[in-house]
Amino acid sequence: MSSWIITSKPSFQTEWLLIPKQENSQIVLSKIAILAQDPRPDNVFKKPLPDPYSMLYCIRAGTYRLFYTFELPYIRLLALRLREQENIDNATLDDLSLDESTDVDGELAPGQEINWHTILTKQGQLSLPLPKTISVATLDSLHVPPQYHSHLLSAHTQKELLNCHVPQNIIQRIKDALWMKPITEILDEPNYVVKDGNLAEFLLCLDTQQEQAARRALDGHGPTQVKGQPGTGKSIVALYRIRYLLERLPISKQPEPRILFTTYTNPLVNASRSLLKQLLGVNIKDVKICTADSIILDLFRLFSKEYPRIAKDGTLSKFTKNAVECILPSESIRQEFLSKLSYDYLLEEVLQVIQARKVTNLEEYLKLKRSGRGRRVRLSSQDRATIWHIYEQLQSQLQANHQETWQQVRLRAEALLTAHPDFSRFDAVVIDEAQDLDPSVLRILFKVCRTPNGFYITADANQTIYGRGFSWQNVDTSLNFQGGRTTTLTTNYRSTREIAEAAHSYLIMGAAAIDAEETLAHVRHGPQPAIRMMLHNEEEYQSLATFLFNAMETLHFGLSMCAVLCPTSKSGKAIAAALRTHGIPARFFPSQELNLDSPEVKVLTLHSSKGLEFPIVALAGFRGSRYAQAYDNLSEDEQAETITKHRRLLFVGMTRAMRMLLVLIPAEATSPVLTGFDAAYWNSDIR
Amino acid sequence: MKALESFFDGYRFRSRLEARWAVFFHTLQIPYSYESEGYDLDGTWYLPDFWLPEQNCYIEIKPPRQPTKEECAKASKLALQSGRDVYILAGDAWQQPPDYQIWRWAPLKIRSFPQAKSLEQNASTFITPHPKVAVVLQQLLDNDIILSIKYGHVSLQMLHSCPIPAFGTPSDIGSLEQRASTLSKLAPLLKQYREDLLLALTPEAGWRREVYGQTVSSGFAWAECSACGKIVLSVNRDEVDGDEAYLHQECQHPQAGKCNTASPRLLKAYETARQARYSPN
Repeated sequence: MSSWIITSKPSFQTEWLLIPKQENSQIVLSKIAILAQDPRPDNVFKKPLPDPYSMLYCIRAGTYRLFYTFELPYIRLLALRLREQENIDNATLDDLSLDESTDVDGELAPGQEINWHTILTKQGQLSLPLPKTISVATLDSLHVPPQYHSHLLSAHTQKELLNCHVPQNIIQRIKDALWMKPITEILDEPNYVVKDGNLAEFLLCLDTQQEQAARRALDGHGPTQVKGQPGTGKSIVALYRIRYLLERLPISKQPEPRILFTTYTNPLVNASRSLLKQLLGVNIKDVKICTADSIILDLFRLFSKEYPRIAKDGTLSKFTKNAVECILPSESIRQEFLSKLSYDYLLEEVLQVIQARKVTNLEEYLKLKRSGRGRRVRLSSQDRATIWHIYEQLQSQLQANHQETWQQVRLRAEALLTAHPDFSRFDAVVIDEAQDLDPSVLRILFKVCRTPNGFYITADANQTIYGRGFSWQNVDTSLNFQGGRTTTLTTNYRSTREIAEAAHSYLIMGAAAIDAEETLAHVRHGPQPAIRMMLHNEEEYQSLATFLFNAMETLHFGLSMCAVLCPTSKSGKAIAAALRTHGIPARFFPSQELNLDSPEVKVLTLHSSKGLEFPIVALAGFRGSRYAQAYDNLSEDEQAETITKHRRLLFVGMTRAMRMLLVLIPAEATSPVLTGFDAAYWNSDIR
Repeated sequence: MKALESFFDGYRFRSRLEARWAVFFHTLQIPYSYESEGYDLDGTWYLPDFWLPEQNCYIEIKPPRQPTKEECAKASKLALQSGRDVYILAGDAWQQPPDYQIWRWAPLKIRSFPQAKSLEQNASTFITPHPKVAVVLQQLLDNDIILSIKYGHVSLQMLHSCPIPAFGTPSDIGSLEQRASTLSKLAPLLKQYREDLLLALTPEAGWRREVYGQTVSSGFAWAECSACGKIVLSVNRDEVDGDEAYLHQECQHPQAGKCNTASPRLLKAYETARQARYSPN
């Protein structure tokens, strides 16, 4: 006999909660029990639906029909419908809600085009009423906590429901209860597996490839890596890895956490913590969850009296300018030097090459291969000598002010770690989005892991901030992922095919250096993303407000599920304020403060959006920013490198979108970063 | 709690529950034997409760609950190796459906039918293969592999070669490893029983043969045929959609009778079982 695993879709869980318990739940459970034995059709009780839906099956459960599908070893419970609702005796499939044009949850049929003109211009219509009134009984059946009842009971229109100040998972459950979803749409929902045999608790279920990636080389002899494009589920795989690692660790009486989970941004750390809590239950106590830099600060707290004072970005820029002026006092020589290398590039060279690679003198720097730095900008010996002197000048300014750079702090932390071999290391270190971490940080994280086998990272080639020359071996010689310890994920679960392809076409148009990649499979389809030119800020704000309102109405998502991503905090704050004056609740969130549960539209910088996802996304606020200007002030080499880097960041922003994406650019922009939107993939007004 | 042993009809039953079902069979004049023959199912010893020769099936009596994994596994093995239907009756004989649940494990069968579609309806027959052949074929099916005979050669075909979106593309590739390991495990058996497999699956000229894997279903009830009066285990009409399922398929009458789950004879048998009293020794 095969061994079957029961999994279910969120829609099924909602419909299961809604059926009257006494009469039906036993019958349904007994049917699930028979499916768990064998879901294959007997053509009497368990029957396939008529073509073309013969991969779907149904079994009668009292007054209900249970719809399901299966493929070894998984059974997917899809829906639980009243028999009179779903008439299959007459094969009237229209009644079966299998018709894909029924738009319930932002799912548009493949190739179905939305009218972008309407989305961007239709002015505030009255929101549609709810198909059914929400009752206390419904809320109770759906296990909605009483504190949310008053909010939900007062919602009478779609807009009111979608923007109720209650957690999104509850709104989603009520949406599933009010609008019965077509079964073909339910197929695209994520799968949940029953937790510990309890039908009330479900865990997200990995697909086979993700499952293999999470279990890959648990007994290997070195570190393991998972690669994949945005939306392929790398982060969730990393979380499951922790679960599998914990299952294998021998029981210990030590109270300290034994596994470290770390990533680059605070929002991603917070999102991961809540998921891990669900996945691990009480065992979460064995996992330390924090950003990589906070691990470094921990080392200082433990072993050093000198707590670091880290120079802020603004201070560093100021000191760099001072240092350049000091070393190159002649205006003309300075300008000539700066025409080749900008201040930003200089500072990066100091931080990411000289400091991060522990270069101690000029001779060493002259001989250094700058492979991690992108290879376009070539530096002569004369240039290098000048940079070295500027670096020394910058150093002395920092010392005089008792400040340090993050790179210096990391190097000191590394030294602390070497000096204290007694530091209680972690049995395993799991790093999400490793491509965003500085090599020096990765080195420290590698060292706080007891054995190389416990080191597990997820990384994305396209999102990388490093050039192609980056190599894991530069981080540590024993950090290699060869010998079957790398998995590449190839199914995109986040974005629609249309959004993923448009973003990818934008990335390759810029001839950005991208790794050879596998063909991606896509689960979702939707409208093409749009690109629009804006004549002035007011037009941009107006368009954004109209877009957010109409997209929300079209796709049935609340405003809290929308994000506007901007290049800078300044433009972000301006957009949030402008949206509020247009009647759209919006808030700018600095990276540290992001609260995904807040009811407003999230306005974020492109940088802090890494690792997150939103159903509706707009990229805006480029006017006046670095991204909108020509890059003429840079040398040709540095131009190419900077453009590549900026295009990658925009690509990151675009791939945050799950269902709908709009990019607004200033009409007057001359920047090469804001070009290359292929009309084959983008709904465009650019002539 | 120890079950009360009960005597009835010359048998010593291990529990009252089993004895009440014996009364039910006796009242309906259904021939039965109790714990008559045990089976060694690949190392597991199994002694089914009842054998009903007229219904050609084994019956296992269980309390009113879902059968456990182990009970299901035993029933499944017995059906596969004996080539007969195995039923688990979970509940008491004096209750009427749906208060008792009847699960059925139907064995793997090979259907033989004429290639001409016009003849197909009436002429198809089912062949019960050698138990070892059934085990090999079922294990292949459990891994989504179908074995058939093409031009005198064994051909293996993989099911689900076109995965559906809910599972993502990779699952199909992912299961290849599992299928490969199943095949390598079964290879010696395939070799050993090659001739039996060929014999079982090679059709006569103008005919085709198709393997129907083991099935497990629940939702049966005792019923009386309205035409021939035979007592059978039939589909309970409250458990299915459509009318065709509760015609008495094996009815000898020119016009097949309907299966009645609440005929006067059946109701009387339930009542007799409920009121039965047993001597303690």
